[in-house]
Amino acid sequence: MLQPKSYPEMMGKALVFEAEPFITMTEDDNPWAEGLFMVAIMGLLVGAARVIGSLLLSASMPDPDALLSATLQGIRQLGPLAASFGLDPAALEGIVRQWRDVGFDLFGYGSGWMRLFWLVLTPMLLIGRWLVFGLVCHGVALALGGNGRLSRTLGATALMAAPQALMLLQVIPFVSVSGVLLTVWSALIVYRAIEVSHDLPWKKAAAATLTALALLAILTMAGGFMTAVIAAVWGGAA
Amino acid sequence: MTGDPSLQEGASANEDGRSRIAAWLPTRRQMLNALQLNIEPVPGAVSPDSVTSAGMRQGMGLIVAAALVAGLLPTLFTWIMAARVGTAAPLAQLSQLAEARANPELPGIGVAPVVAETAALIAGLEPAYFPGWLAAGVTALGGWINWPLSWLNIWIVYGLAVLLLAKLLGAKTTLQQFYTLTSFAFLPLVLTGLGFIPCLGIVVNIVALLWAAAIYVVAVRAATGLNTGLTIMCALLPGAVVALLAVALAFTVAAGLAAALIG
Repeated sequence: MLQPKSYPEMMGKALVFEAEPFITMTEDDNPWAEGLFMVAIMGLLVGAARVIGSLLLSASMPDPDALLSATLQGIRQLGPLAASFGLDPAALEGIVRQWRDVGFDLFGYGSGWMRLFWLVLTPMLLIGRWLVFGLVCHGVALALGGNGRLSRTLGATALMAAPQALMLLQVIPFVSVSGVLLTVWSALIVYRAIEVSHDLPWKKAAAATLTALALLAILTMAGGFMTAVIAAVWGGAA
Repeated sequence: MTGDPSLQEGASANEDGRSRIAAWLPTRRQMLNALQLNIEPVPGAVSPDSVTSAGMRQGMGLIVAAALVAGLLPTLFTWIMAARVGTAAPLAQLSQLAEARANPELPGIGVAPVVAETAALIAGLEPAYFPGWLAAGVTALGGWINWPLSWLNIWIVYGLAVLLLAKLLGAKTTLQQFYTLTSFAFLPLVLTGLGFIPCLGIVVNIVALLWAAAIYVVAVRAATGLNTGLTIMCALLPGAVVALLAVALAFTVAAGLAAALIG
């Protein structure tokens, strides 16, 4: 097993696509367990950063109720105008009230204990994403003539958690890390991992990575759709 | 030289600190060469002053450092402005923006004055726990950190589109070579930190963008070995596609709004 204190250096090298950390991971005595530990640690750190960031956000921003009442006052003033567009001002106010909690919880703004949810959810999401990428890429790489073992592929692809280090900056309120940046950078690291662990040429390694990326996009969209449906049903019931 | 071991240790620590910085930043000579569009093709680099001999880690460090320098003045400006109001920086900016858009002399449907009034009301609310100056400082700091994050986003995401296109056209380059060389294009963007100055800001922004585009094209040509025409196409096509999509989206939204208003 590697020492966790070596993780920052390995992730730093993975961020700039050096081959060394991928080789280290594939040559580890238990690559998948090492990868799982690495991704889980990163997830916990990012989750903790989000919790601290949301506490600082709540301390820096006005009281959420005061903010909501100021916003509603503005909506009421727009009442006649909204009516001329065929919108019902009361319905608009209802929608704002209904989605207030969802929106505030999402950013951890004044959400109380709910913000601790991120501490659990973030490692789970990262581990899930790593498994999807690792397993799909491994399957496609084998089909394209790769010669790596599953455990080694999972070990090398665990370095895809490296760009998540940027999320640690969310400890500061209003820092926003682009999801596209994280996804693309992670995908490039996975591409390097597949190239190294399966000894594949660039086109085949890219094909394996793009397949996993496409599957992840479909799963994310399906998850988003399901969440929206559940939220709408829940909101409607309330 | 003194023989004092503690001083020698200090000197060695200093040198160590300098080499640590050197590991994360290109040399001054490399930066000057890049600014003068002096970037040699990848296989031919031998001089340590050559842009091509830099590493991707140094490229990444360059982008982060340049973005932090560019964002420093606007961040201080935002902090002072928000601290005067005594609120979080984004709320102060929102209020300022809404106020600028709300011109009572303009005939219209009257949304802007109401939005401006609401934004001013929100900006006037006291932070829940922090004193106003601290809330302004902490949130302005977040805005400052967003500068390198957005530059890294362009470098990695836009760069990938350019790289894929170049690879499809037969370019022989690696991820590291490509990203190292293109990182130097962000150096002139330091000037965009002056973009908030009225009138001068627009000129400075245009100069910085054109200079950066020129370095980007030269860097892509050096990394990929493609001819200048193909390089310009690779560098501009992803941007053109994004711009077209944005225009199409804006047109669709505008058409939808117009249909709703007329209908």
